[in-house]
Amino acid sequence: MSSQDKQTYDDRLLTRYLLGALPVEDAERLDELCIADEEVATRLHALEDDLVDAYVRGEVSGEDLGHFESFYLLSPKRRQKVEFAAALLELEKRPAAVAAPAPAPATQESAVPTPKPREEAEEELVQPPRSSVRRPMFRWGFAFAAAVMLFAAGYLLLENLRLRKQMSETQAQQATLEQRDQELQKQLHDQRSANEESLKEIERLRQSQPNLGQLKTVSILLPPPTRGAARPPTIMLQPGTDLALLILVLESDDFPQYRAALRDSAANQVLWTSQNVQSAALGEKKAISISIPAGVLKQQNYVVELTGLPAHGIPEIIGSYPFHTVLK
Amino acid sequence: MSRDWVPTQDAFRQFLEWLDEGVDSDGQRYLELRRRLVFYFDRKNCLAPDELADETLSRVAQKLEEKGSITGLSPAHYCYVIAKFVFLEHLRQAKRGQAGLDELKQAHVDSRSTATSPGEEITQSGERLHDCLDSCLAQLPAADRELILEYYQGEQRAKIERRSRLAVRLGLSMNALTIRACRIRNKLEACMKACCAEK
Repeated sequence: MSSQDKQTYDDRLLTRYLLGALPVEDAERLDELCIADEEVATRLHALEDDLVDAYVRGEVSGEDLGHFESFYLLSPKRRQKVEFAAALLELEKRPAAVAAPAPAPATQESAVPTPKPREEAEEELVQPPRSSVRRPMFRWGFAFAAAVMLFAAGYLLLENLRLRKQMSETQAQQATLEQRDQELQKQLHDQRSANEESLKEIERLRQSQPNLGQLKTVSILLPPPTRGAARPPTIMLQPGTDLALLILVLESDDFPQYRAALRDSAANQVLWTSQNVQSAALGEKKAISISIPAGVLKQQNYVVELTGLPAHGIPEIIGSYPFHTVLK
Repeated sequence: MSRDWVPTQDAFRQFLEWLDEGVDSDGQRYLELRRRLVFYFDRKNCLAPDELADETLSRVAQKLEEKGSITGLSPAHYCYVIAKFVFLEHLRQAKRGQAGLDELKQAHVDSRSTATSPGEEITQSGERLHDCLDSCLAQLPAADRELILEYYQGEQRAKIERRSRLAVRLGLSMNALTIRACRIRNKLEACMKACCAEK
């Protein structure tokens, strides 16, 4: 799919898709993209959350409200999302809600429950139990029954402890075996990955070696992202430049590998993505260096989005490095 | 293709690696793809979107084990193709077109008619949600809790401005902030679902 096609899927269109208000052909195209296209799936996910929030706040109106209530609220899963959004809104309003109960935000009663004020619920819980009238003739009977129950409870407690101990020993043995199995699997996997990586690296070096000397490059140092509005550094590209070498200085080196994505600031589109790279020392700091083909760059603002890749777990976006390009 | 196929440990590992496309996500790609498939079937108004999503993933894993590799389409795109078939089969099984909107409408009517009384149901459900939200928020790391409360707070324009300020403060692009907020909200919704089911 071209980037131009993607732009046509604006927020309004995606919202109508969520509301079941699109013609079948358009909806089918989006059915495909909501699974197969990273950007559309992410955008749609965020828009759905915002749409549901807007509904519980009473911000959805007109034709959209009609579609929301006749289509969106049909599914139990989607109704759960609405209930969640209502709870989140209630939480936001909670300090005010103590003084005055919040009005119901939506028109369909089953979709957005109005939680009972907490104080009211707590009052019900702290009501004292009704005292029972005890007759003296039953006192000794109760005392005997209590003693028997106490003895039985003690026996059961001891038995329970013994069984728990046995069970935890068995579990510990099983966990040790499973851990050993996982370690062996991991070693095997790491070894295979290392072999594959080495082969790829050799091949890459073999292919890139003869051309390195002929490349014309320009480089720029991009400091760690600052928390205020600062003027972005500028990179000058002379005619005939092959590569722009960007050195991204890290605030802290927390990941074994990183990946960078070049984003067009105005269109908010990813234009280029690096391979997985490792940090290297730059004085007392650590930095990532990436080489972007100069042909990708025009005279405008860009942002390099740096993602940290943990050995296991979710990649995390750790910073954005803005810069400006000037073509000479 | 056998419907009773159960993946071996090796087949499942191979499936996860194929989904990861070279970057170990520790199962996160699988979960994200499953979320998208559930969304797809739910938007088609199927009554059991989770089961259909699992059926789709199971068929893809089986195909991968049989063929050894799947080339030509990205993992996500291939899953979409199989999901389409699963959906069409589901429609055929559900008495030629009576599935989808009709069955959901009926289920919606049934669920509303069996409730004890609307007022009672709403109050109980509201209290439960209230308690569960408190408990689930408390389980989040403090930074995630602050982020999600700030990200989803406010109305329209105020919300947009708040999000921009939040992105600047955290040194993230708007896109990165949106992804992070959606992930946290997903976690919170899953926790709420489990909590409400328990109570």
